[in-house]
Amino acid sequence: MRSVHRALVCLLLVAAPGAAQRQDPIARLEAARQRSPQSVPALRALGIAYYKAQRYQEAAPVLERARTLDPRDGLSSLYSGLAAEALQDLTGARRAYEAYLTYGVSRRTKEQIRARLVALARQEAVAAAKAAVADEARLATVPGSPLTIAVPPLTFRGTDTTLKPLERGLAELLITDLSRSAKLTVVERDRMQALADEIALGSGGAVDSGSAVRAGRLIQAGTLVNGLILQQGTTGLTLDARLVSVADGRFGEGTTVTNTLDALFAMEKQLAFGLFERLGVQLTPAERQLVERRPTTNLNAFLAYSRGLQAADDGRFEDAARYFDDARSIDPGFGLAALRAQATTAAVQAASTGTQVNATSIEASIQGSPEAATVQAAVTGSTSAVAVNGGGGISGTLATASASLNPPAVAVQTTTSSAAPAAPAPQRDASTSTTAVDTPVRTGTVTIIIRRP
Amino acid sequence: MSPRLDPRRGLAALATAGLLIGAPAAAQDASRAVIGAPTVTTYQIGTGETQRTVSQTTMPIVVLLPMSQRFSMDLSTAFATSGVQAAGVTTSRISGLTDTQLRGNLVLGENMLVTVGLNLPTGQYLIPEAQQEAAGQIGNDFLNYAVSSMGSGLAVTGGLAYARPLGAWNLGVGGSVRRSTEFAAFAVEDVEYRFTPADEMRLRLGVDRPVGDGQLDLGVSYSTFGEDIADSTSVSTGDRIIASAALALPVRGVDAFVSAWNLFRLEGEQVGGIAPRENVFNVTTGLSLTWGTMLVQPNVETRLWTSAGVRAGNLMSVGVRARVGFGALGVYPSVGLSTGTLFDLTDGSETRLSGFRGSLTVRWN
Repeated sequence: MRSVHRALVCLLLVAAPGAAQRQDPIARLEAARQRSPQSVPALRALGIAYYKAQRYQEAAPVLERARTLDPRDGLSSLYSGLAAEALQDLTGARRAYEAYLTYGVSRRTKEQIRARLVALARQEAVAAAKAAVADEARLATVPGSPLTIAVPPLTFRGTDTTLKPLERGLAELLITDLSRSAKLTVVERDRMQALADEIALGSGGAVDSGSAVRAGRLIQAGTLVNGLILQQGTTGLTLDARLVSVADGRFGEGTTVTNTLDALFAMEKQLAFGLFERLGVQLTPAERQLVERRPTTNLNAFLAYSRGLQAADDGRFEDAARYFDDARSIDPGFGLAALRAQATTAAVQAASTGTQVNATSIEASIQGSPEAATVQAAVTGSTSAVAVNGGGGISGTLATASASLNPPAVAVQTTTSSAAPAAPAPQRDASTSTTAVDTPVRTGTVTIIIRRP
Repeated sequence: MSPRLDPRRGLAALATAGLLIGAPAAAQDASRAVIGAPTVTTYQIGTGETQRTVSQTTMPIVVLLPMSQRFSMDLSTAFATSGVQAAGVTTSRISGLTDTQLRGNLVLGENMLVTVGLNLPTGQYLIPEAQQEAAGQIGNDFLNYAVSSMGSGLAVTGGLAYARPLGAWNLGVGGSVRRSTEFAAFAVEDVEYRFTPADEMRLRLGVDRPVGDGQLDLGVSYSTFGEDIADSTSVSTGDRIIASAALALPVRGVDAFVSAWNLFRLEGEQVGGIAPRENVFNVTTGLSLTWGTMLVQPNVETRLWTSAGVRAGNLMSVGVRARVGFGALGVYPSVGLSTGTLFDLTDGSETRLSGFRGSLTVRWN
């Protein structure tokens, strides 16, 4: 027995943390990447470890590689976004975060990201606009491709001012439709708006068609869509759209459609197809099918949505959130409204509660989620996917099976997860169950009966 | 083609591995660690002059040794002292080191795991008459003692587990065999009695899947035994089926969980008669509330016990556990109070039961 005790003491000493020289987790993961350069778990873990060590320059390309190899890997996208933000690459951060919204699993992190994306998109657009204005002299000499299109808000003329928000709503629909063609590059609405705001700021608030052309030039668009919404009586409406060459400011031929307000969505489609024709773009059958899709067919929902866009452009985010929510309530199938409502509401809530949504809070939100184990494994130098010591995936299932098949004699709650502890199912103690002495004693004494042969 | 692995399935599975089955953290955390968990458990059975108190103080030690990404080991043992008191007088007490268990897990490929366990006989074995009552009381399936056995002899366990994705689920199956050797177990009137625990074969089937941001785990394990040999008497205790379910889910920013297990023991033999079929059902619900780096986990547990289909006992516990981190040191204090009833199987008469359990788990990474 003494030798067993001696062996036990030796084992304890050998096992003590720090007794053995540990390899640096990052070095271990770099070695893993070297062994398997195409392994997404290895790249993801290394990228996360680099990020945690604030080695952002190294983290970004590694995580981007992991995303390229497996675009469905949400965690790589998340940390790619975080690394990009740390490097002030706002566009890269936005794209990576958007991928996480599609493929990530933590709802709390998604809520954070939705709020962050609103701020990020604005920051990104404003930064790009400022850079463009600052670089105007050079940009003005670089002609944009005629197939790079910008669609500023249309201009409303009429007496019913409740229809004015359609300026922005219809511009967004046209942007969405024109983007369906692979031959066109369409400038995002927020970018165009930020540039228009920047120019308006520089010119004392005045915005005219000349400002729009200037904005188009700065944004390197070759063609501008100049649109008009003309109210005809109480129910009639005329939509007109013309292509404007940014290079010389010349207006091309236009497409004009007139109908009742009820037929707004059909009119917009006619306008879009007219623009494709003027641009000389032949749509494939699949693209045509996509263009024909309507995000909503409810005019009231679309008006509410358009009011939301107007409010957001004016910086009235609480109003915007309410309008988007109205649009979603009126037409629950209006996905675009739901998306905007979610994002804007999250941003407003974060602002109202004083919660600062930033890279740090986004990363913190993953704690306690199923993805946290993979992050923890990466920090300790494990690629985790099939690690016996932890991490996600099949290893969790294997660990559970193993713990059940070969249970410990001592039940100690050792989990570091945020799940609350539960008492384990008891294991059989052979000698007491065989001899029937394991019944809780009420009164009297317990006698062990073992018959001699 | 290799099946796509879903990282969401890991956390709760790892957590419940420890929570439901009491696995040391080798399966839970990747870093080396030493864990100590001094625990006090007391149950008071009955009232007045007939009241008995069964208490246990333990100091378990667990050492976690991840040797590589695919191979990990852990070692666990404990010092335990258990006693029975009647009318303020200790009628039975047993103290000493328990057995030491050394386990190793090796992952093969992406879906296979080999587990090996060695039970080293470091515990106190030869139990004289004066200590038998205390030794027996902690082995009960209904009451919740940290250490339920002082030792079970030199034994080897070998097992194999296989897991694979199956649609939205992960499926895990496995089997293990435990072979034990003879040891001197009891001393009655200065005569030693030898005991050889039966070989055990265990099968396990489990599934898990993500549910929202949380995780659902379901599992069942079946243990069948050969014949225990107590001196010259050989008996076969009933097979055991343990079914478990756990759901961990964030609800409005708070992590909530509910987990349950049901232990069903088939009718078997014990020395001197029949061991009736027995069922113990346990359900626990809890919340995890976070304040800065501190985590507080209130939980409620209910346990029901039937023997031969007749109610034998119930127990309700309310507890709270906290987690405080100090760099490489994690401290997990927990306390719980229990109240319940034991029922006489023949006349249904009731005996009141109350309990306390407190522990201070310290984990050094």
